[in-house]
Amino acid sequence: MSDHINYNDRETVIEITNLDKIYQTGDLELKALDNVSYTIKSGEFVAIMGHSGSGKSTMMNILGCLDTPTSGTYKLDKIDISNLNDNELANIRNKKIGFVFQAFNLLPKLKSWENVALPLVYSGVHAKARKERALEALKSVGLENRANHRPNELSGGQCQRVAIARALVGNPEIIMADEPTGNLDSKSEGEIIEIFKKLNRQGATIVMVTHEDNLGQNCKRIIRFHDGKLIKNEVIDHEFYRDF
Amino acid sequence: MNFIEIFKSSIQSLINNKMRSLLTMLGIIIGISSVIAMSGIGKGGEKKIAGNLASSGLGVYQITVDKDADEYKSIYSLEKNDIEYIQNNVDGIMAITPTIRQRIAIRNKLGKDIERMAVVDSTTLDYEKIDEVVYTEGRPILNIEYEEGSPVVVIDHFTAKKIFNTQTPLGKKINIEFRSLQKAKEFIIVGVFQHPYTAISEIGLSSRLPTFARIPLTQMQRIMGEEDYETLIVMPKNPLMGNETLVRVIEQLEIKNHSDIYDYEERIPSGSELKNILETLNMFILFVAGISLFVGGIGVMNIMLVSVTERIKEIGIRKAIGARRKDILFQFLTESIILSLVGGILGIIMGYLISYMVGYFINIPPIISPLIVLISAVISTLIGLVFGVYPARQASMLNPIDALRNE
Repeated sequence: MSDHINYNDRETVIEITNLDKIYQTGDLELKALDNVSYTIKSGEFVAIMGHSGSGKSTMMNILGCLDTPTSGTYKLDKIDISNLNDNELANIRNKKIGFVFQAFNLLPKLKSWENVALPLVYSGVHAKARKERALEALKSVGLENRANHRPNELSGGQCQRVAIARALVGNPEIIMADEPTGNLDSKSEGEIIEIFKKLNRQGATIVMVTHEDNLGQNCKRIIRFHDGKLIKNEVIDHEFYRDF
Repeated sequence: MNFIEIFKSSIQSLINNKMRSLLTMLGIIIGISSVIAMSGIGKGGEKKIAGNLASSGLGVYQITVDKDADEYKSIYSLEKNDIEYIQNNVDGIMAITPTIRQRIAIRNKLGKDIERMAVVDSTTLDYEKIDEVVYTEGRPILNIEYEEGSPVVVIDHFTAKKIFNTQTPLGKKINIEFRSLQKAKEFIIVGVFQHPYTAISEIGLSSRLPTFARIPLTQMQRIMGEEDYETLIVMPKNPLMGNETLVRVIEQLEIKNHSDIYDYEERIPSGSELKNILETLNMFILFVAGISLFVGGIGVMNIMLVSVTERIKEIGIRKAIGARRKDILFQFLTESIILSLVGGILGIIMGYLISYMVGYFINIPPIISPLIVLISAVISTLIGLVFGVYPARQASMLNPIDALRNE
């Protein structure tokens, strides 16, 4: 269905314009991001790639509203993030972004469904609705029968699926995955990628940071970074971008 | 994140670290339990002593005549007809009696060595109502003995035991020396009453208790060679109306005799010194308990700082998925408050147990007021709040990127 929508007609989710990020350590100035501009529209599945030190992690932190740019603008869902305070950023992270980390980052003392429900705790959803929505999200990653397990009772792949469910549960504008398969074996890696692809087919917008080319080939587009600069925009799914 | 959520997760994290939580609470437990135990024993002791004191001074007034005043004439001195006049003209008087209190020496007729300094009250029958005592042997002085001024005496049981040991003192003669008058007379013991400070003796202060004795006022007057009295003791029926009643008594005396020479005051309970000692002791214990609570509070702060350090990653995760600063602040603050409040509750329970145990051994039933329990709970909550603020702030200020990177 979504294939029939022209790329240009899609809503802009992320709009980055002339973005710089400079780290200052003493007299040393490190330009982690250098005049970066790009947009991501709804329904895209974008891989951000580059070698270590290329600036892709910094890019991810800024995209995830964990960090703010030194200059330039970053608009997420038409909201300019650059000038928001701590509380407003927390609110954006909570409502508009779903995070998937390389190290899963689940709370070890909480059951799967409680981990999944955690973002809803901070957005003020009532306890009963939280559990329902958490179980629903677990079902969408095929883990409804592991709802009461704790992370140490799950395999790495299962943990990451719980983390994906947690990213989905708040119905965010965009899902951001930072090397989501970096800690997984190849079988689990395949499962996770399939889940992302399925979610994307269902309409989710996904940004994934990775350094593995074969993973990038699963996405619709690859943005390559080198030394803090955006060096290449590589279309994989030509059908999706046919009018571009 | 609402309060119940925070509360639940805080309880959970304290349960996850049972041993550590308990050790952290120890300072609070000791502090609060000593406050509870001490105030329980203190109040119980005070009540027991006050119960004894009530019979010897509380709600009782003393009327005096100022013999040095310029207007004073001997016809204004207090006499028997003044008592009758007051009884006829003022309502609400339970008992009224003249009294002469003298310091005396009691000497045993047989065992010459035993001599005790004592306070003797020379009174009438009404005094039995004012200063009620429990007779353990013999009987009170009878009305006829009061009126005729028979040479009879009743003494307290500690003194009786000191002088006569196991023998019965009843019917025995003792020599009473009125040193200030330089006179002496033989009295027959007709009764022994329980010492008014028996309760005090039970907590180990018996060695310095004064001796008490009573003789008929008429006999005393005969020895002194005087008919009038310097003081009247008045007990109003309603202790709460004491001042009003006494004002009317003075009015009547002034109408009958003369203005400005009569005055009244409440008889000061002679146990007030003991009360002072108890209060000082209480202050000292509160001071010690205060230090213990302060140290306990620092313990709470220390463990909360450790807890924050250990959970940097958790804080990072929570922040990354949308926890605001105040969410994290409240989470850690609640934990430290619960930690010290639970410590406080355990302390209250411990304090109960200790005070009943100690109370059992020193024979003082403890009185633990709900107020002190409430205060203890509030104080332990405040400790958690005050000492939790710093660690909780540290946690809430963490940068999510750095926190997530922490392993």
